[in-house]
Amino acid sequence: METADLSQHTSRRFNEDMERVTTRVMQMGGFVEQQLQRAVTALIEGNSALGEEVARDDYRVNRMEVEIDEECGRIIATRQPTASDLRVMVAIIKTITDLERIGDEVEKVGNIAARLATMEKPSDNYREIRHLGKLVTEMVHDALHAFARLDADEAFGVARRDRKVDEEYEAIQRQNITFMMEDPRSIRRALEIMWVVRALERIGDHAKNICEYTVYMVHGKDIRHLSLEDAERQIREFARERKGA
Amino acid sequence: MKEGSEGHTFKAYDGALSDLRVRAQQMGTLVAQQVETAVRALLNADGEAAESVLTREHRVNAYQTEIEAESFRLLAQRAPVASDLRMVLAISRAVTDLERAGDEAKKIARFALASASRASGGPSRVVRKPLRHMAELACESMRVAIAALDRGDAQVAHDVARLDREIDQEFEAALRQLVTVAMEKTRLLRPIFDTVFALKSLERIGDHAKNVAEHVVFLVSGADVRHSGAGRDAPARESQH
Repeated sequence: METADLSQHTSRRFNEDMERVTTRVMQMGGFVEQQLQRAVTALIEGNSALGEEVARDDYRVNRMEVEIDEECGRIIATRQPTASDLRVMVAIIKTITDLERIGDEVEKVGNIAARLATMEKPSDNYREIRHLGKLVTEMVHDALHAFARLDADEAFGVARRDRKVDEEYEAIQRQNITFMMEDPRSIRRALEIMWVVRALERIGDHAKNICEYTVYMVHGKDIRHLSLEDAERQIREFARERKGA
Repeated sequence: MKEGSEGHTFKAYDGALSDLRVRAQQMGTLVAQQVETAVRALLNADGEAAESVLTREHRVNAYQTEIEAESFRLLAQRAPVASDLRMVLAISRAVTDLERAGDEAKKIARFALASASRASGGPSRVVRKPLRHMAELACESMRVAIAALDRGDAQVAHDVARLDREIDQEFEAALRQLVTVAMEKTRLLRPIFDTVFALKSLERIGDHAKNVAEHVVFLVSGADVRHSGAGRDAPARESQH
């Protein structure tokens, strides 16, 4: 099992291709992050125009995915990369798929924000959603940071935060049901909020996926169906074996 | 695996590549089974059926890991080009959607297990009709998409897309119905929430089936230059939720 080492490429052109693609992935990620922030802002501020704009702009995320995807296909076909380089390409293709899905979730939030703008705001003024939104936005940002730096340790750290997101998600949904029981007139709004919270929770999952691709890219190990503890233990063992060999 | 059937001819692929298709097909069959069993568990409050879905979930994951590793080996060792490359990429993508559909089946099974142990039978009775209809549509769309993957038949993509639209409409209708019930019977809110998520899982399965069908279009458009570029242009649409 070898470690991806970008300094050792024999093909300069492949390096250039890779650099270009990585830059575009980061641009895509930056835009998705920005979309996410704007969607949450639209919801909290009751800004329906902003919500609609966010939803409308999702086509740009989709376009970036298709373009990067095609570029990766072209590089694989023309450069016939070595195993470790190919692993990076595969990780990139997977990452942009998750980024595109984050974009879809953000689009939903934007649409809901636009619909909710005309309704009365909940008594807590979306405090919990603001918090959850911040958690997942940071996760997406840091997941991409770890990806760009091929930092598997950081990726593990970010992936672990998904548990916190899941806890918050459960807590908000429970609270949401309590609100509804107290005031059945709020049910329509509460259901919309439920989808927002769900979308944010999903975004956390996608950020975690990106972390898993980083581990795959660096260590060549598919950890998706392992618990994080098992994954970390196995990776440590791999590292020891490599040193011993 | 039939080759050259029904006019949608693949060129003869070497063993490894057709192996990959066979594995993807097997995985698809397993996922379709998982979806059908989960739905049956839900409609009949059959705890045993729900358990069997949960027990088999790891097999879906194992297929995904295995097929992707094999795809990777093919890419690394044989450096396939053009249509072969497209085939490998299309299968990898289809496998991702199949795994996610399997995940939704797992969620439905968990819900079925919880509601099977609940005495009231709960609000799923309230939405039994749309639930059943959605379940039938979701299973059918999965079956059609997987058959399309097997045959490399891009024509059925339209059928799957139509089914997906029907599922979305049914989902919206069921949701409206549930909101009405929730307003009248607030003590049922928690189980109603669960039901909404089960419906949502069915709706997602429709999305994944549609995605699989789109990957087939991509696969075929690579295998047959006459359809080149037809696959990935259509933007994937999802429902509002």
